[in-house]
Amino acid sequence: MITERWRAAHGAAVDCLARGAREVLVGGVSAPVVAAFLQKAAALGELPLTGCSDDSGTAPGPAAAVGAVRLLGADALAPHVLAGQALVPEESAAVRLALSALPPAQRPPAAPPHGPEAPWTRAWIDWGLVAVLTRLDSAAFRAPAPAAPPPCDGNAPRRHSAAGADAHHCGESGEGWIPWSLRMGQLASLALPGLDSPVHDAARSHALALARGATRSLLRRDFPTAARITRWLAWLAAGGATLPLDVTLLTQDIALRGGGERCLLDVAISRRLLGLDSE
Amino acid sequence: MPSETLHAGLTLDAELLEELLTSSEEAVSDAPLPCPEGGVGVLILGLALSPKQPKEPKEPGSK
Repeated sequence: MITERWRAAHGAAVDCLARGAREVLVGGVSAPVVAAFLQKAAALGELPLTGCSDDSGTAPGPAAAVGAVRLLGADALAPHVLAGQALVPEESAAVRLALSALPPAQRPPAAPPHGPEAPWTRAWIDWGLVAVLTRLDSAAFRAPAPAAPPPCDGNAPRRHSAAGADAHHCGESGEGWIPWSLRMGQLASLALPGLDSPVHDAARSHALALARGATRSLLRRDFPTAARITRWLAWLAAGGATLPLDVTLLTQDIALRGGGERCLLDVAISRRLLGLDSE
Repeated sequence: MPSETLHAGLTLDAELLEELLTSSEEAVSDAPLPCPEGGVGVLILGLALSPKQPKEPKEPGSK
């Protein structure tokens, strides 16, 4: 059973790792992120729930720390990806350690609604991490690409979900833009340069649904979700796509109003994708 | 090295990771943005009174 204690520990670990990645990304320095994070966790060897704090010097326990690497996925290596830097051996070893603690599924489940949502999502996040590791170093791991996400149907009711009662029908006609964009937000760590997959094809095909989803999340003041969906819009803009909204304004607004380390990392990556850091 | 320190018997709980990866959006409502009492009227008035696109200046001598 998943306890609140474990949930909080992983949340704190993700915050710490996201903060480390953002500091390296924004600072423009070349430094191992994952290795330093795991080293700190190993040194403490406990499971504090106090979150990520400069003053306390605390860090999450080893299991939560390794779990955080898998939760952030390719974003843990985003500073290296965006700077085009190869991984130093210790960074590569740290990511391999995180992968070996729970090897990626070699037979990913079918995409929802025909397969379970959560393992399918994890398979995609793992695919992104292994793909980036392979590109920056050489990976001993293999993560087959899972099936493409369910399509978005611009004419479907906006809340029409693949997980709904009429799942068989939805599998053919597509989802409404709300559940579809939320799922894309969960896969936002794939929105990095150099990665390409059926998820990226889906983003290219449904920029309007992404724009609607990001705007809705912003209006709900759900800034973490808005930042994740905006990642895809920034990725599209970096590829030269024409978008139905001003993604630069959207990113700057989330940066001003949003909070949380994961949200700030998403914003920092979007800014880099949009070329705003060079202004 | 972290890999030496952490490797022994360390395994991750797939169920936990998957639940965290698919956590739903923040629990905030879809209700309209809050505004002060009478705010709607103020908004409509503001829209009505907001500056429009400036008109072309009349040329001297034209009626």
